[in-house]
Amino acid sequence: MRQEKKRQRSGKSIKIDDVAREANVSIMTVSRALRGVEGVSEAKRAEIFQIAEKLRYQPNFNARSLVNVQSSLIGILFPTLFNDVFAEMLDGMRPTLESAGFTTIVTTHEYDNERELDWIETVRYWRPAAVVMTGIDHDPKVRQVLRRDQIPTLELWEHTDDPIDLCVGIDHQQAGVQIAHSMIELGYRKPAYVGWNRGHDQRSEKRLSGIRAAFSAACIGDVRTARTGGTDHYRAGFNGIKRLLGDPLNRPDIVFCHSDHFAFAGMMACESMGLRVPDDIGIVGFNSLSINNVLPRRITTVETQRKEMGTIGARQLIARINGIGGDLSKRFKPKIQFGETTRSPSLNASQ
Amino acid sequence: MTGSVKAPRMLDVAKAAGVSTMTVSRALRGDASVAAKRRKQIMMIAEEMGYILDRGASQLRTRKTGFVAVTVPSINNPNFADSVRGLTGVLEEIGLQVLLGFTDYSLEREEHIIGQLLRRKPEALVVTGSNHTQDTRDLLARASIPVIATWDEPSEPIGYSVGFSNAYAGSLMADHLMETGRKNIAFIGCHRDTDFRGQARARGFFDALERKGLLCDRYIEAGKPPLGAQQGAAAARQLLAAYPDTDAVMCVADSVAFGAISEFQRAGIEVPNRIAVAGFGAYDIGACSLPPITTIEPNAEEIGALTGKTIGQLLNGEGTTLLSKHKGKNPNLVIRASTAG
Repeated sequence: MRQEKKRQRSGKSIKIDDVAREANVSIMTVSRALRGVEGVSEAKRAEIFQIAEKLRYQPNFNARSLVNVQSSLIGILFPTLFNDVFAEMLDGMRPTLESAGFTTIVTTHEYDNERELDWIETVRYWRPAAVVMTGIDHDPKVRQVLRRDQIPTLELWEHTDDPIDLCVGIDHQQAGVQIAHSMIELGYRKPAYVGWNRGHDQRSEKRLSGIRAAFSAACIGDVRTARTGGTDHYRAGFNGIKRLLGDPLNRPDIVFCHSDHFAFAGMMACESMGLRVPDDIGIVGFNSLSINNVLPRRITTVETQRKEMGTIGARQLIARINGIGGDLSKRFKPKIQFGETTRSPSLNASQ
Repeated sequence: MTGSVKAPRMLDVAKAAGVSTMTVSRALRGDASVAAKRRKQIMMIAEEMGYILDRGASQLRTRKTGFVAVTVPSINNPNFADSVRGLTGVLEEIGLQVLLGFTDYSLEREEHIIGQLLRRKPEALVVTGSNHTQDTRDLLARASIPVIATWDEPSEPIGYSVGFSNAYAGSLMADHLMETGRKNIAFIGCHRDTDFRGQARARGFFDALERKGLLCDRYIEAGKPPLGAQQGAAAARQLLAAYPDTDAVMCVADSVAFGAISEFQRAGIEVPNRIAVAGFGAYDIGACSLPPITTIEPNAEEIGALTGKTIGQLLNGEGTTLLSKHKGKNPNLVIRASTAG
C-alpha cells in the first residue's frame, strides 16, 4: 500500500490501473483490449485505445513473454511512397502499434521482389517483434525464412486463404469483377483499362483480370489496355487515355483506371480532346483517394478502407505477437462509390 | 510444423560442395580469393539447399549493418518520396539499404525514433531539416557516423547538409507574383511552429513583399502538416472571407494550391485573372491540372542522390576531401498558367 502511494507520488508514469479506472473497466479488460485478445467489443476496444493514448500509457514490456522482449521494432515494407494508399494504411497502423509500445521502421522495395528478400535479411537480424509486408506475392524464400524464424507476419492490402501468417485486405480479382459488373449493369459495352506496365503491380493485374472475367462472362468482347511506366500517376493516366481515344471509330465507352489519380488525369485528357464525361465516355477510378473530396465532379470509384485495414491489421498483429494462435486474417469488402464520371445508376434503372 | 524445419547451415553447404566453410563464406561474400567458377558452383549449391547467408553472423564479424537510417516528417509527400528514391538508388549501388522512420513533424517523435535507430548501428543517419530538440542534437553530435541534414541550408549544421534555403524559395515566388503586377498577396501555410521549412518559405516570401513596401500580414493557417487538397480548399474559403481583395496567393505545397484552385473555381472566381495561385514542390498533379500550377522545383530527387553520394564519400574516408560541408542546388521557378496573365 505504502509502496503504491510512493510510486504515485514519485513518478508520473501511467499504470494500467489508471487506464482501467478512466475507462471504467477491469484491468484484465484493458490488458485484453491492448493485446488485441478476443472478448472485448470493437467499440470498447477503440474507447480503451483512445484513453490509453490520451493518458500516454506505455505497456510494460518486461511483462510480455520472453520471446518478444528482444525488440520492440516492427519492420514495414511498402512498394513505394508514391502512393496515398500506403500512407493511409500506415496512418491506420501506427497509432495502434505505437500505443502498444512498438516503433515502426519503413522501407520501400519499388515493386522489386529481390529487394524484399534483402530487406527480410536485414530486419530479421534485429529480431523484430513482427514484420508487415504489402500483398501476398513474394519470393518463396520470404515465406520460408519468416516461418522458420517464427516472426509474426502481417500481409496487408490483399487477402488470401494461405497467408504466411496472417493477412488483412481485399481480394483484388474480386474487386475487379465487382466494379465491372456494376458498369455492365449501367449498360457499358466497350471496356478499356489504363494502368502500369505489366509485372509492376500484381494487385492491379488481378483487378484487370477480374474486369476481363466479368466482361467475358457477359459475352462482351475483350478489354483493351493502355499501359505506361514511370512513377507519375497523372501523366500515366493522361497519356494512357489519350492513346485509347486515338481511334475515334474504336472508342471505348468505359475506361477503368488503375487509381483515382489516373482517372482524374484521364478526365483532363478527355476534356482536352473535347469529349464530355460521362456523356461521351465513362471513367472509373480505384481506391477513393482524398483528391476525390475536392473535385467539382466526383469520380466513380471503389472504396477500399485502407486506414481501417491498417488499424485492424495492427490489432490482429499485436494479438499474434502476444501469442494468440489460429486464424487472425480478415477479409475486407470493397464498396462501389458512384460519382459523376459514369452514367447515373438511378437514371439507368428508370429507363 | 513448418516452423520446425531445420535450416541448412553453412557447414551443410560446405559438405555438399566439398570445400571448407571458410571457402563457402568467402564465396558468398564475393571475396576475390575464390575463383569465379568455384564461386558460382558454391552459390548454386547454396541456392538449391535454400541456404541463406546469416547476415547477422557476418555483421558481427565485420561490424557492418549495411543500412542507412533516414527520418522523414511524413509519408504523404511527393517531395520526400522523390528524395528517398534518389537516395535509395545511389545507396543500393554501394550495397546499403534505406530504413525510414516517420516523425509526423514532431520533434519529440524524431528524438525517440533517432534513439531507436542509432541503437541498431546504422552506417549513416539522414535527417530532414535542422530543427531538433536539444537531446536529439546531443545524440547526433555524439553519433560516430556521418550525419546529414537534408532539405535545408542550416546556419549551424551538426554534420553535413544537402539542400537549399527555403526562405530563398519563398522570395523567388514573391518576386514573380509582384512582377506580374499583383499587389494584395497572401500565403497559405501550416500552423506555426510545425513545419519549419514551410515557415521559412513563408518568411522569405513576406520579407520579399516587405522590401517592395507591400502588406505582408495575409497568412492563412490551413492546419497541421501534412496539408493536402482538402485543407487547401478550406483555406481558400477562409482567405476569401478574411481578405476578399486578394489577387495572388502562394501555397506551402502544390497539393494545397490544387485544392485552393478547385475551391476558387467552384466559387466562380477566375484563376489567374481574378486571383493568381502558386504552389511549391513541382508535384505531378500541378502539371496536369487545369490551369497548370506555377510552382518551385526543389529538385527533390537530386537532394536524395547528392545525400547518397556524400554518404558514400564519407564512408570511404573521403570526408576531408569534401570542399564544403554543404551541398545543394538552388530551386527554380516554374511559371505556368495559374499565375500568368
